[in-house]
Amino acid sequence: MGLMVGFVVGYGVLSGDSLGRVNLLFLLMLFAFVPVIGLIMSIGFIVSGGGRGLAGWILELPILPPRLTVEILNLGLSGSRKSWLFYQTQVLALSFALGGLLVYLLLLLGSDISFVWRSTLLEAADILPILRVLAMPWWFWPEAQPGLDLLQQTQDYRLSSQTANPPVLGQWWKYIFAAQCTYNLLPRTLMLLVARRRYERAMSAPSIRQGQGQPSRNPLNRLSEEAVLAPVVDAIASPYILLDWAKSPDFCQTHISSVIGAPAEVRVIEPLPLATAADNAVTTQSLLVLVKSWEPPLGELGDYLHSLSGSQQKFILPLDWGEGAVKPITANHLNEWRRFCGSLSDWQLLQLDESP
Amino acid sequence: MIPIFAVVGHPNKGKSSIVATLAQDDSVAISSASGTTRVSENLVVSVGVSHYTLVDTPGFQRPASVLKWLQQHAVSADKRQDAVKKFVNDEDCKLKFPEEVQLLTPIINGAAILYVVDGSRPYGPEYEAEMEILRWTGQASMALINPIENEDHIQSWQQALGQYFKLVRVFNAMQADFEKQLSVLEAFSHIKEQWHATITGLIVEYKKIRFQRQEESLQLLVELLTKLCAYQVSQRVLSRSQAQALQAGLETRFLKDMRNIEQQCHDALKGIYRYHNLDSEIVDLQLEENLFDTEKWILWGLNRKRLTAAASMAGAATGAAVDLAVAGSSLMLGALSGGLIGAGSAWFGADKIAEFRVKGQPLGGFEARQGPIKNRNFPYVVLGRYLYLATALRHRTHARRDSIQIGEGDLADRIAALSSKEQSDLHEALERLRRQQGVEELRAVLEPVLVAAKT
Ligand SMILES: Nc1nc2c(ncn2[C@@H]2O[C@H](COP(=O)(O)OP(=O)(O)O)[C@@H](O)[C@H]2O)c(=O)[nH]1
Ligand SMILES: [Mg+2]
Repeated sequence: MGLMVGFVVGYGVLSGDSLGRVNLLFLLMLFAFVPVIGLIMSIGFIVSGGGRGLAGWILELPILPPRLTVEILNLGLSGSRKSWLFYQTQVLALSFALGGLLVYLLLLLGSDISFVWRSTLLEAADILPILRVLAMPWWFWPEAQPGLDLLQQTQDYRLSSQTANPPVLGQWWKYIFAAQCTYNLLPRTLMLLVARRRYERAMSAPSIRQGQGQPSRNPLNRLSEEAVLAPVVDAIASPYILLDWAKSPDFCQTHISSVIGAPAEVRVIEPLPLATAADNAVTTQSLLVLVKSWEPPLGELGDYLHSLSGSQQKFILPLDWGEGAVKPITANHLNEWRRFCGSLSDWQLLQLDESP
Repeated sequence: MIPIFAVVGHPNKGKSSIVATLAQDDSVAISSASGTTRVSENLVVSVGVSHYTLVDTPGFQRPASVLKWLQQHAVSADKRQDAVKKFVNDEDCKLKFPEEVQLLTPIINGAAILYVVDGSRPYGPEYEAEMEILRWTGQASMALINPIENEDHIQSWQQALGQYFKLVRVFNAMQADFEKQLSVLEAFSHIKEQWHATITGLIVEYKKIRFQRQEESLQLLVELLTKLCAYQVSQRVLSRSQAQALQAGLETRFLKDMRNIEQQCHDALKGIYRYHNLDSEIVDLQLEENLFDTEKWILWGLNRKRLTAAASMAGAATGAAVDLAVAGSSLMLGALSGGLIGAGSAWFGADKIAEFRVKGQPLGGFEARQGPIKNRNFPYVVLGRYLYLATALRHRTHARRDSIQIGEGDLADRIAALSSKEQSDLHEALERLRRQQGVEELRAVLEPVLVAAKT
């Protein structure tokens, strides 16, 4: 697109009037002044860190096919949209410069261009210093340097019929060519490289890291699902001995007695020494071990229960209480005890049925 | 030297939960069944450039017998640590007391102790044996009271624990926020002098990471909105009638893709917050309703003035005028009855969610295309859900195993909390997204609403 615009504009200016005469000052405007202003703006964008260049504005115009717009929008994802737009602007500018140069060379080849200049106010001597300064970058090319003679010979007055001899009029081409290269082509090429670097850097900036999986944990610590849940019973064979593993407060025993009848005997059990637990084996009465429902069954309790190896009926009663009263046991805790009981062969899980 | 902490205590009192929360790792096994943790497990926690280790241990199973064994093997008070050393290396003990050997080994090897109890249940003397054993190890220690069901017994625990531990903290494994987690580390840096510098560095890293996560989730949000608002599917066929026939299929694919994109983005967000096993479900029954519910605009702060402003800044006021007329009529209906609102919205939603178009192609053939979604509410719905998830993740701990039900959340309140400039920037940006126009500073525009969502 830039190439086309450059071509057309270049052609417009270079084709000149009916005699093929081209205003030198306009040419300089087009090939040196405008590019330099554009360049300064571009550099300004780099420095200020903002901006998106001409391409950004063009995108706002409703002339692009929607699919392209969508694609460009997607660029915004990687945060590189801005630098992409800037890069595109530079591509645009460079192709504009190339288009201009191309049409210039083509016209030089296939047509006779007469470079003249016109001014009401300025004399050849006024313009020369400006042209000299502009020509400084190509000091090494003497033929492309402006001269006072040439300048005077190519001043043109539309009304006067006097015309300088054509070959002289064509001599400006080297100067114009050098100006185009110096003020347009070269800096734009450099800018393009810079923009490209910026764009590539923006593209390679780290994007969001996706969540990576965790190393698997020790299989020994996996949950085992096949645990057997013991059934819950609500009756106990009397008489029974209450073995108080929970060191329960008095209201607990009162509560138990009111539901299943008073125990024949109550013993408060310490985890140690285990030897005394063996005493309980001799009796034929049922055994009822009272535990805190919220404390998980420890190995200590398991050891104690194993030590009660008699053949009488044996029950575990997990009880919950607080603030001076017995509370219903939570489902979680009940499950915990059913699992525990399920792992023992000769113990039943008792829950008090309080319904009258 | 890398700090290492062994989390110990009774079974089922939240040891693994505390490890998961502190390590921000949701793959730690947590179960309501006691004895789930059978062997000690080291978890190296990397926080930026710093590291520390947490050891999840099985609970005490036979503290009374173990204390008795130790007492029999320590001739005098200065030999207590040696007795524990002997205990963890004794073959017989490994068979008889596997859990205690597992949990004491890391401590003997230099781990500091985090002792966990349940503050919702009364203290009992049966805990004394294990606290005494821990004291025998001679390691730096801190007690954490985890109020599992309530905070009823915290005080009695504080008194009892104070006799065995220099530091006692209340720490809810399920709810401890970021500051609370850091305060535990911070406290430790004072009782274990050698670790002071490392732990201080860790805390700095934790804060950095937290900031970084916010930045990453912001970027992700930008990606999500940009992508979803511009998404479309298309297919080329030879004839116009073939293209028309594609409508149902394309619509299904389009909606499925959209859902996938959102889901993937939500998963990535979970990844940013280090949730790898967390299920979330978009409660999207209301998607269609939300999309066509014109009242939502009003709720989201898009009053008449704003709506026109946002739309005209985005480049076209005519569309907004039509939309406004509809919004106005539905508002009036709203005043009449709920049933009528339903009818009004349904009428508005009579057109498809996303536009379906068939276009002739320059080189022959036809293209059927579905999307992008043109509905004004759409970006708001996506934004609302994302913010909902982001907030949930930020307030969650890695000990929780429940799933998240993503709703639209309190988007209206969040938008209302922004400054008026921030609000109009947001509305304009979302409006531009919907119109397939680029938004230069989307990240900066979205930042306030994301940050506000997190406090
Ligand atoms: N409500 C609630 N439940 C908790 C809390 N801490 C632990 N739990 C639950 O208690 C059970 C045991 O937790 P876990 O961390 O596995 O305990 P561990 O056996 O000591 O490792 C699990 O079902 C947890 O979900 C808490 O602070 N609040
Ligand atoms: Mg555990």
